[in-house]
Amino acid sequence: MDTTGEKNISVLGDDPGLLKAAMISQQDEISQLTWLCDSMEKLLSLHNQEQIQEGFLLLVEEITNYRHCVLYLFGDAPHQYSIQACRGITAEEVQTKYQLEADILRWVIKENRWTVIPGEGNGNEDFWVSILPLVSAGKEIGFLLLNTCPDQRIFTQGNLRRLTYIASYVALALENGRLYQNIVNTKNYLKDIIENINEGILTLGIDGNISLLNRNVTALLGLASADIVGQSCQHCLSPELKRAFDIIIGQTFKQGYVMDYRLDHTPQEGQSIPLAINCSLLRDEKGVPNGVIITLRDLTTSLELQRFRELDAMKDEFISNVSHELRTPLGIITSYIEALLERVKPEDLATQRKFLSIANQACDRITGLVNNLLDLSQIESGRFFLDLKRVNLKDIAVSVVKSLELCQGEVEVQLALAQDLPYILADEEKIYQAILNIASNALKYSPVGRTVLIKVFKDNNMVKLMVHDEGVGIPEDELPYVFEKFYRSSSSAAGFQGSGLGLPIAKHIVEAHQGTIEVESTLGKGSIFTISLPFPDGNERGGSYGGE
Amino acid sequence: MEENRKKILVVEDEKFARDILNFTLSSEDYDISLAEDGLEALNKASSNNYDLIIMDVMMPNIDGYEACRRLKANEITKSIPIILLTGRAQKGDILKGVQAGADDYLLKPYKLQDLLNRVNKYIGPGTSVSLAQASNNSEPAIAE
Repeated sequence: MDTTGEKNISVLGDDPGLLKAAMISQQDEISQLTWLCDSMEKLLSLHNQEQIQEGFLLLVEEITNYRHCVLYLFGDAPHQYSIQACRGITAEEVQTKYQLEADILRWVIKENRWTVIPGEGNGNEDFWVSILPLVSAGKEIGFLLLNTCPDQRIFTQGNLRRLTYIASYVALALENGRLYQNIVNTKNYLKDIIENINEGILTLGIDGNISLLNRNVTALLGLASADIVGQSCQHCLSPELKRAFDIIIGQTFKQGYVMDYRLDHTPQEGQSIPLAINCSLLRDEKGVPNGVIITLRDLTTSLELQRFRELDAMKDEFISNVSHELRTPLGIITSYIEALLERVKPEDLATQRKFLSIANQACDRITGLVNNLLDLSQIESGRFFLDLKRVNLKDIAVSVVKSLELCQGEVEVQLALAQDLPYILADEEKIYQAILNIASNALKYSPVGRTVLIKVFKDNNMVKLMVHDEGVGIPEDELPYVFEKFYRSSSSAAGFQGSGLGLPIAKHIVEAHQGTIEVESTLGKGSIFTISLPFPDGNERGGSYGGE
Repeated sequence: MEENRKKILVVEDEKFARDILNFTLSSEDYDISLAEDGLEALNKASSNNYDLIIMDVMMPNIDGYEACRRLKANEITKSIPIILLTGRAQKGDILKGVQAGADDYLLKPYKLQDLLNRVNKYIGPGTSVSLAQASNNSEPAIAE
């Protein structure tokens, strides 16, 4: 039934009854259109797909009073559609009940008109199936399948116009909703990236106000709250950070960027975070700078990695040095024995004796190194045990000096021993090894003609042994590392040999005895290593020491 | 006869290793000079006309690699064959020796005879005088 009444008005003539009826009809039409307009306005203001669908299906129900309906939407691939919503029927029932002909469907969508599909009722005329295409600005969004009574009052020109009008707006609203959802998804995706990236990201407007920050910034800078967007950057930062940011931002505006600005940031007492800060300009669409983006990287892990690489290199160097330390005395042994066998006359007993003695000393040297390596492996594996006995430190010092005299004739070793030293409880072999390590180091780094002084004395409640050399000395910045495993002083680069094990092992042995080991050094003048070992109460004069 | 003897510079910081090289090479009638480190070796090599240099790698002041590099870069000394002796047995160590321009490389411990064979390969026997004269050589002395 046509309810617009356009044609009727032109032929109404002067009949007041007809005119009145036409006016009422027009008024109905206007109120219907107003209702439609309002509904469309509401639909278009929605961004949520489901709300749009819901509103749309209610409107259609009002107009067509459908038994059930199915909303299909097209996907990204052409002619691929899927069920988006059903009313009065389940999705499973839809699959068995309706087999839509692709060609017919394509034709209906192309015509973009509400169309009754013949045959879908199977000749049973108690329902009609119709399709309402949803097309927006030429883009096919989807279609609505309707199952209604076969009532001519439903399939009117007016309803056709209304539904076409609604469909075009709903298609637009759905498309807008889809685009809006895309924007929301993209925004969430970017937000996810910004939040989960390993670095801290902070952007500032040209006014210095914070426009964006992620949670890493809060953690790395130790900020009290993450809720500081819009606030001035200067108000949220500690004085230390403020100074650093001033420099970074200043440089960025001068040269466009700042790369890897290093800052050891202390967000709280006792916690230090090594930071690398990058900064670059943000620009608007015209290329005018409108802010800066700052990224903060926590270098803790990469510094650790660097430390591991250094350790690895130290280990390689260690293997090479141990090889050298073993091969050098081994070379001496083989050379002297070969010379004894091939070159020294059988009657030349003096040379034979001399060569054997040299080979013997080289054997001692190898034994010393092997002992150090064994000590190290025991220390590393936690199987380092002490065999404690009453011993006098000066006796050990004397035997160390004896074995040193055997090895070296070019540096003089002097011994200064205090009288009446108290005994200590110690593992004699281990303490011997510790002192030998320190003293042979002193000899190694002493030029020919210099003296190494070994002093043993009592100081408060400790017995102390001091090794004083006039050697090359240790640079001040290297002093904290001399007791580190594999560490070899820069003087080692000048060709001094060593495995880098002697001092760390000495330190471990001394500390296992509840003692301490200290070093003082002046570059070019020499070093003083001092071992302090506690002695048991009540033997200050060494009276109970059985050996004396 | 002194002038005919081949001159070898032995560079070694270990006293005992130095002594045995001196003893062995002298007994083969080579004319031996000794140096304790790379710096001393460079000084001696520039003013003496050595036929061969035998040098340890790990030494104070200037190590064997560096001394070798400098000797090979110097017009006066670059043609002198250099045999490096080392206890460092890593692949990289040998490569370093080759890069420094060493002619030969012996790993400690080595046989003295092996070293003598190589010395002979580069410069021949210690003296070019006749065998009869050679047998009159005095005993080599070992440093005390």
